[in-house]
Amino acid sequence: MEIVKVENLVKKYGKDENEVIAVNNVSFTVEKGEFVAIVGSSGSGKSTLLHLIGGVDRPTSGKVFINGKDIYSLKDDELAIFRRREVGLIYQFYNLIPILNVVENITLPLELDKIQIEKDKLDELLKVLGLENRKDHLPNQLSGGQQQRVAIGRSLICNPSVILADEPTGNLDSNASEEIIKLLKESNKKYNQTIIMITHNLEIAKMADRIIKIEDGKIV
Amino acid sequence: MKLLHKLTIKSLKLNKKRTIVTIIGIVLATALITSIATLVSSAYKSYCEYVRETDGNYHVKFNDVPTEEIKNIENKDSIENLFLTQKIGYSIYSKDNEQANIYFQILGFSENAMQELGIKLVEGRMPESENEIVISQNNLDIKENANFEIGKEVELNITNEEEADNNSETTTKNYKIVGIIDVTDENIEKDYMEENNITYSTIITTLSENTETYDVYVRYKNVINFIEETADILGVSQEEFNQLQGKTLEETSENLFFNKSNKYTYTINSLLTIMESGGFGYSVFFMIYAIATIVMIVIIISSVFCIRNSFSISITEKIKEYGMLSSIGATKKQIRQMVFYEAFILGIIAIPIGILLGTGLIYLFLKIGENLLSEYLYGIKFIFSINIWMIILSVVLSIITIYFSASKSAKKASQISPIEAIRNNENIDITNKTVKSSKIIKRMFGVGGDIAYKNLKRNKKRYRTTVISIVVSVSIFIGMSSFVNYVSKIQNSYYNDYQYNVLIRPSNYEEAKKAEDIIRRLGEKRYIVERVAYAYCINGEEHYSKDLKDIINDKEFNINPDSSIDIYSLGNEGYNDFIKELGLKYEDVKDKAILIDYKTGFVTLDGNEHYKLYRMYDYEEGDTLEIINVTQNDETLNIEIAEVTDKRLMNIVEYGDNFTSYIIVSDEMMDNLLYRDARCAVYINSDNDRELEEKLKNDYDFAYVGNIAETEREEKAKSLTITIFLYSFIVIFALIGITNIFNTITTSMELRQREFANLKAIGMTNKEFNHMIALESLFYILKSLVISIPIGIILSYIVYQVICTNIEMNYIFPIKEILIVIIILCILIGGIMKYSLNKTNKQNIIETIRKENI
Repeated sequence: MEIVKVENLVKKYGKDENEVIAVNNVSFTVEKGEFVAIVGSSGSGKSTLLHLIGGVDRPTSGKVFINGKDIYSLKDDELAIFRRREVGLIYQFYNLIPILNVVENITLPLELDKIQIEKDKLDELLKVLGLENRKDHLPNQLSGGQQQRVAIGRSLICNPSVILADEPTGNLDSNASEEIIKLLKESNKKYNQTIIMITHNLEIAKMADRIIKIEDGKIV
Repeated sequence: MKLLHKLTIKSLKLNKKRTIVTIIGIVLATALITSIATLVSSAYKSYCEYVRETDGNYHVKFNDVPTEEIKNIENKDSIENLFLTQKIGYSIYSKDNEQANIYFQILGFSENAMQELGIKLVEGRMPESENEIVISQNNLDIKENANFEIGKEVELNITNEEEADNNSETTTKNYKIVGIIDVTDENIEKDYMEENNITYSTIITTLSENTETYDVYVRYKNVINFIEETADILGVSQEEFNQLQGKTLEETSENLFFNKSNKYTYTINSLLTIMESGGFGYSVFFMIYAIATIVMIVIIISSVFCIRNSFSISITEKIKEYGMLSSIGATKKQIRQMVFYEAFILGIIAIPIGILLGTGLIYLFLKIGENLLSEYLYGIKFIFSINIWMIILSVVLSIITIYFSASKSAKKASQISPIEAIRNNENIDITNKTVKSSKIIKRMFGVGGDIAYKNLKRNKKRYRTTVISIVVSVSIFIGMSSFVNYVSKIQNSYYNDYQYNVLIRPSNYEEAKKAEDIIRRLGEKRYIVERVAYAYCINGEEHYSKDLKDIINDKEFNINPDSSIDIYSLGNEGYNDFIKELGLKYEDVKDKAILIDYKTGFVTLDGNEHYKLYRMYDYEEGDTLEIINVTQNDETLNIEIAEVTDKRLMNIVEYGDNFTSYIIVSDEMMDNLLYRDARCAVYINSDNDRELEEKLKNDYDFAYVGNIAETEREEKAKSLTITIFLYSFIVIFALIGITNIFNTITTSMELRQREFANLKAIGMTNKEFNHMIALESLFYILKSLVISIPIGIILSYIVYQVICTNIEMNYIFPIKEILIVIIILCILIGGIMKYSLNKTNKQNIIETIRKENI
């Protein structure tokens, strides 16, 4: 089953002479439960592509379907709601909300939807993430690896159609990196979770089911 | 070191937005300090100039100085200017050779006396020879007295006796009238001197050579040496002079002192002397200085908050840079110096702009104020004055402000460790606090409210800056507003609030009756036909109140009341209105008296002096007054008191500091008490006072028609100028508060851009986001109000205590100010948040998240 479908996606920045084509007519699909790695050198347009898939940016032309829905036909607020239900985002710099503790950060997308959290599910997730003893800690009291695990927890909490990870290990040492990738792999297996991950580390990319290579905005 | 400086300048250029915000902060602070300084020095200059013009440009007047001694005074080094006047004589002038009705004092003025003393030429020119005169129009209606028009010759019988009457020895002299003047100095001619149908006026001519004595007006070069120099001229020691003087300069205004040891009697132009020696001795100016000092301190404190915010943001931006520098070996001291260098560069740019802006604003303010208010200012000019010392003070204060703003950031920057900087952890202090009430908040306001509330609880530091800046602004605003309220209340209480404006003085009661008919025909409804009989209370001293006894016993006042009592009737209409106001019935009171024996003045209470309203007698309703009617051949009378009141109808009866009390009786009763030709007056409260005055003057032939409102307006102009200056302080305060709050909130919003973008990336809709920010604003407002309103109330009470120690006045709860503050705060913070939101909502989420420097 196709969970993500990208159709002739184009993203341009700037105008006329300064025009930069970050994503140049890219099309591909991702099946449910697939773990896809996108690799490419810096400036190749891989991050832009990921953000376009995640609905946090808007393309110049082309379409993105998630779970069969054309996400760019939605209005801003509808897109925001769609995002919090169907897309989980993980960034290089974790981007947690500094004033919220571990549990609050993880459950934030559910809170936004006013959905009651199932305690069992939360406890299980915390166990998987290895954060049982850190529930009440604030982001600045956690290590980088722990913070990234919170971010993963946040993206997993509402069973999104797809998790998009933008260099999730870019800021971590090799031990922590390994742990994070293991965690992603585990959730991919355990919950049949679709994951699209950007990395420029080929070692890490090899752990994915499929590798998409991008250069100058095009798939090669 | 040079390289580090270059680096600083480069990064200032790179972060243009931040640099500009900081510069604006410093410019505002400097501009505010400068504007206060300029405002104070302008107010001071304007008031000095006004006093010089109205009261005369001299410090002391020595009376009757023999001609040969003038040289001695003139030759003193300490004298800047000296001019002479001379009492030529007095003259009683009869308009139609029947009744004496104008009493002139004739003065000789030297040429510079004409310029420097408080007289203004209205028409014509000043006299150039002993045969030419100018006439004061203050009390004398020139239009009514055609004999005194410019160009006419008058023959005057002049006498040397001050208490002249028709039998005095006189010489006759012919004068040519060359001009009309207005006398503003009350030492030369008092306003509205009119008694028994005699008008008092002044004639000024040139000095005549053949006199033995002159009045010498002296202006010292340096008013600081006033006591020394004056004592020297008087030929007494400074100690003796101080004894002559009594306590303060302000109290001795107009007093003449006779003493064997001093050569001359003298009059001090006390207000000018006080003003020119800095104005500290003049209570109003002392208060202005006090407020200015408080305002400046507040500006500095709030500016430090505001500028420090900008600095700490710029430090956050440059954390990596500082970390890098310290990793390659820059010492803590060097990094600290970099921050101060940055502050120095910013100051060099911002302080001059601030000074120009501040002085420019005050210049505009004064010009616009003068134009808008010219009608009410009656010749008071706003003088724009830049005092170089004030500017230097502003610069120093601005530098202090910047120093305090930068010093904490400098310390912080120097403590950044390389590792920390490279990791670039969130550098906001957050306390991990279990937030209890969040469930209620969540239920009430949803998840947005929950996050907003947690923000408030856990990130105290961030909130603190904003809340403190609001608290400072709000509480000071409340305190300052009550301050201005009290001051302007006291100011206004100096002047009687007359409720009538046009005054007719008919020559007898018949004419008064006629006047009543006329004004009724002209459609005027509010008027009083007043008649007065003079009397004394028999055994009045036995009924003196405790307050009055205290005053009599207080030697300082040297008062001896004579139990005099004036009997007033108000005409039927006026009387009925009056008793209606008091809730009395005509039939019950027509044969009785309504006693008004309230006075205002200083009364000793528990050893302290209080300025208050007190009663002179202890008579109560139902008591009988025994009086001697002076007007009716000293006939004794017994009148029952129907009511004791402090109400004054149209304020014709003044509280005053004389010790006469008043009774109001019905017309019927007055008919029995008076000869018909007693003193009468008709007071009218007209909506078109100027029109009515013109009509009465032109179409009818009354002895005197005047417009009290005009004089009143002139008096009020003085207090208005001071009130304007006071209120401009408030405006400046509000401005500081607003800019401060604006700056703090916008910068704090900017600091949180990434957090906001994050929330949106997770899937918060714009609506939810706006809701959250709105709630956050609400929390800001509530929290700051909870702190600042009690502080404001306490401040206003302190202000009340300080100002009203000597003056009986009730504490006014600043409810109006509080409401204003709440409304302004809601609008302001709502507006600022909306502005910041618009900016945030426009930004691309992903670009914001990836931005390293926010």
